[in-house]
Amino acid sequence: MSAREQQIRAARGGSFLFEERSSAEVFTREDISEEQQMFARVAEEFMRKEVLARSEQIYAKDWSVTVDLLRKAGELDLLRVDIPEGYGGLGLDKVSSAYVGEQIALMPSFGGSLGAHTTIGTLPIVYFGTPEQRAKYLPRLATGELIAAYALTEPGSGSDAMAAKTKAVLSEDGTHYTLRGQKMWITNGGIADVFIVFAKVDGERFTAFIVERGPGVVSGKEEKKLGLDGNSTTALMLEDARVPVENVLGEIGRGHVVAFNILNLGRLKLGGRNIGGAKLALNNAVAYANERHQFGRSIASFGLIKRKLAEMAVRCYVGDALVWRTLGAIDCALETVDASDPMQALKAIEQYAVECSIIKVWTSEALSYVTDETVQVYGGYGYSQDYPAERAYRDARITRIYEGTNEINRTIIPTRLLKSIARGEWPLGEVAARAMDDALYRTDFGALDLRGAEYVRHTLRDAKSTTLIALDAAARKYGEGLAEEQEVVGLLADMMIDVYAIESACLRTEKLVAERGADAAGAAIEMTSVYASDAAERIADLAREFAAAVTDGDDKSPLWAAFERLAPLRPIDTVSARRRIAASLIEANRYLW
Amino acid sequence: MKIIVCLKQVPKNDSILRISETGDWIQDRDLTYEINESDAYALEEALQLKEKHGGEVIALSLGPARVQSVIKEALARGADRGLHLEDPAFDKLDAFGIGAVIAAAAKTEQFDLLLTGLQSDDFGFAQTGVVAAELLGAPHATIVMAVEVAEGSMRVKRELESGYFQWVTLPSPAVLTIQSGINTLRYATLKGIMAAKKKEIKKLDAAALGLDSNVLAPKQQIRRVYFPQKTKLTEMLEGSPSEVAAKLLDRLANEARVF
Repeated sequence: MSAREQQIRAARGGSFLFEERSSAEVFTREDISEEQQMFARVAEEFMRKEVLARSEQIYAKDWSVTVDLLRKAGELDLLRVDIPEGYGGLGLDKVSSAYVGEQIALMPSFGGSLGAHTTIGTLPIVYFGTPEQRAKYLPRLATGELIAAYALTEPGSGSDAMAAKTKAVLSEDGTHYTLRGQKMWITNGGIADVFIVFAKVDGERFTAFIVERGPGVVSGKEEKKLGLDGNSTTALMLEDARVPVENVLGEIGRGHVVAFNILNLGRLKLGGRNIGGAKLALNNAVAYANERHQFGRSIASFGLIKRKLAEMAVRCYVGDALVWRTLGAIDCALETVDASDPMQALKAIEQYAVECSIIKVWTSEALSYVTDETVQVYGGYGYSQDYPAERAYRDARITRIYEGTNEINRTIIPTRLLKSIARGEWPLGEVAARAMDDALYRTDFGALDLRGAEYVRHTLRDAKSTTLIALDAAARKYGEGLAEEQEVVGLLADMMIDVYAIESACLRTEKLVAERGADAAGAAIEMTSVYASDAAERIADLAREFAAAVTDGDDKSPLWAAFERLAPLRPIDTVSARRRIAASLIEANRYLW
Repeated sequence: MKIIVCLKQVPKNDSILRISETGDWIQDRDLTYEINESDAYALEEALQLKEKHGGEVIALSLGPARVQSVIKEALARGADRGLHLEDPAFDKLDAFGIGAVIAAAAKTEQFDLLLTGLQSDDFGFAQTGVVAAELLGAPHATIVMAVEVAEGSMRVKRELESGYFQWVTLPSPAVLTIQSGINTLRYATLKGIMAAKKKEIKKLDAAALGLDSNVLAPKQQIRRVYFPQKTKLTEMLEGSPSEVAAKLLDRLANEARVF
């Protein structure tokens, strides 16, 4: 089997809990090609020279600058990446798209405008448009001649998107729908020409429409927000807006398919931007810590600052491992389907709904952690608008809310997996029973003498076993009623998230060692061990909380015994390991991975 | 017209520099590279001349495999093909050697114009273009700010000192060294990057260029590289306020040369 075939086989969504992976089977950031790096360099240069140079006007809400910059981005082909070749696009893979997307994190406000246009504004037409709709809109979206936005949320329906009140009524002559209602939090609301609007036909059948700006399509005033204050965000009032029947997007009554599938892609790409933003913040923090002197020495020389810098680096490293592994897996899956059939592509992507939600939650929380600690490293200056830490901190907050709140995404993670288990895709009962037996009769506790890759592999196996046993116990105890036990669902989600994170970091590092040798991968090995050690502790803790909840206080339940035997012993000195990680950051004056 | 542009790959200007173990240059591990700044302007000038007058732009770079990335960058921005001059014998060339290799490569093409940047951001010799011109027996102009092409000749604007300029007319083929900032650099486009994959990069080594070790033997050598030592010196000026002011003015003008 070729390496590529191996990757495609291994890439199956949800497989991370049930199968063991080798590093040759996964994509990592280090596998990004020279051509993909060149694409990203164009985006980075554009951001630095054109966008950052106009920050002042953008933050002063001069949207004509934003519109000009979007068109300029179009000239450089940055808006064409995800559009198919026949419609003025480049039809590039998701790795290229996300790598270009990562660069726009240099300015999250403008990144929001560009991302809303290229992802949630354009992709619904790419995937659900008729040939006529695609031919009419995509070439002009590819150049930025038209700017797009996505209008799903309403004042009364956020996470519960299907409860939308916006209504669409077919005209008597059958030529158009009349839309009436209000949408909220529309990124690009003030500048968009085309909106993907969700409304209920006759108040019942939830449907997507392509709505052009025109009579009855009215933008509200600019919202005053905590962060992302450099992009236009408004309400959208639909006051008997006439939309031709040709502009129904997808099937009538199937708007949820459009809405939810596009969110999977949005979550995935958001992951790349989140870690991109985290790396920027970390680089600022390292440089500042090196430069700032107190008590006659740089603050980077103090242990508690080193600890912060090291942990920030760990999050960046693991986050990239998660994001690029998943992107690579999805690209592999897309290679096996007919590229000209967008429905097949969407099905392939949807298979990774669990991984996409994991990425959304993990990377947004990593970004929040890193930007918060960056403020702390800057001290008083972190609180000042004259330094970059303050804005990064504010801009980060929304990432835990939009593209599905982290709570909604946490509920998706175990329930989606349990659905595929119920369909017979994975033999949970069997695998969990084996894990339980192995745990109860194990003799190889310790792992005290293990280090590096062996230690991480050992920890990963135990974390997976713990999680599988817990999932199985929850499925047995609650069955269909699990959805109502949200706290338990949340515990399961957090275990699954950490398992995927440990494994992704482990595979990235093993690949690095295989390709560059252990010396060159030194800090990567340390970062992976530190993460695995902490995550294993977290998983063991979650498992105890879980056991207490599902056994109703029965301490004779074998769950307790199994979880205790799978709980880690801390053989790794994470204090020293973090010092060494910090030393490499401080010496290079930036994050190098 | 056929234009050859010489592009040097240099360490990015925000690189952290460390002296190599041998003490005669910087460590090249951990470095990231980019196109030498004035070379990027030379490339842009070439692309604009091609747009005005037609013809072909050839991107040339000398160095190990990694320099192909600057050739690819040039191809992505619109150059038509690449020349990669690579040979272990080219590893430690001085400015004369580099000029000689470039001249030999240029001879394999019937060029009208050979452009280089004014100087490299790493060594800063500002000799490569001039040496190549002499070895080719072609006329040259340095620190060029503008190029106007006519039939069989060209008029170029040179930067002199103190805000003076000079217009010079040269017959073609000629060699010009281009000043930074004379035009607006274009970005590569994603389509350009994808198209670059199909463009040819021809490799030439010492044997192919008919260069023997005599030509390439260094005529100058860097013996030691070191960081400038930072020293602080405080000196008290004595005298009445007007005497001190006069002494201070003298020091500023004649020692610190800030005026």
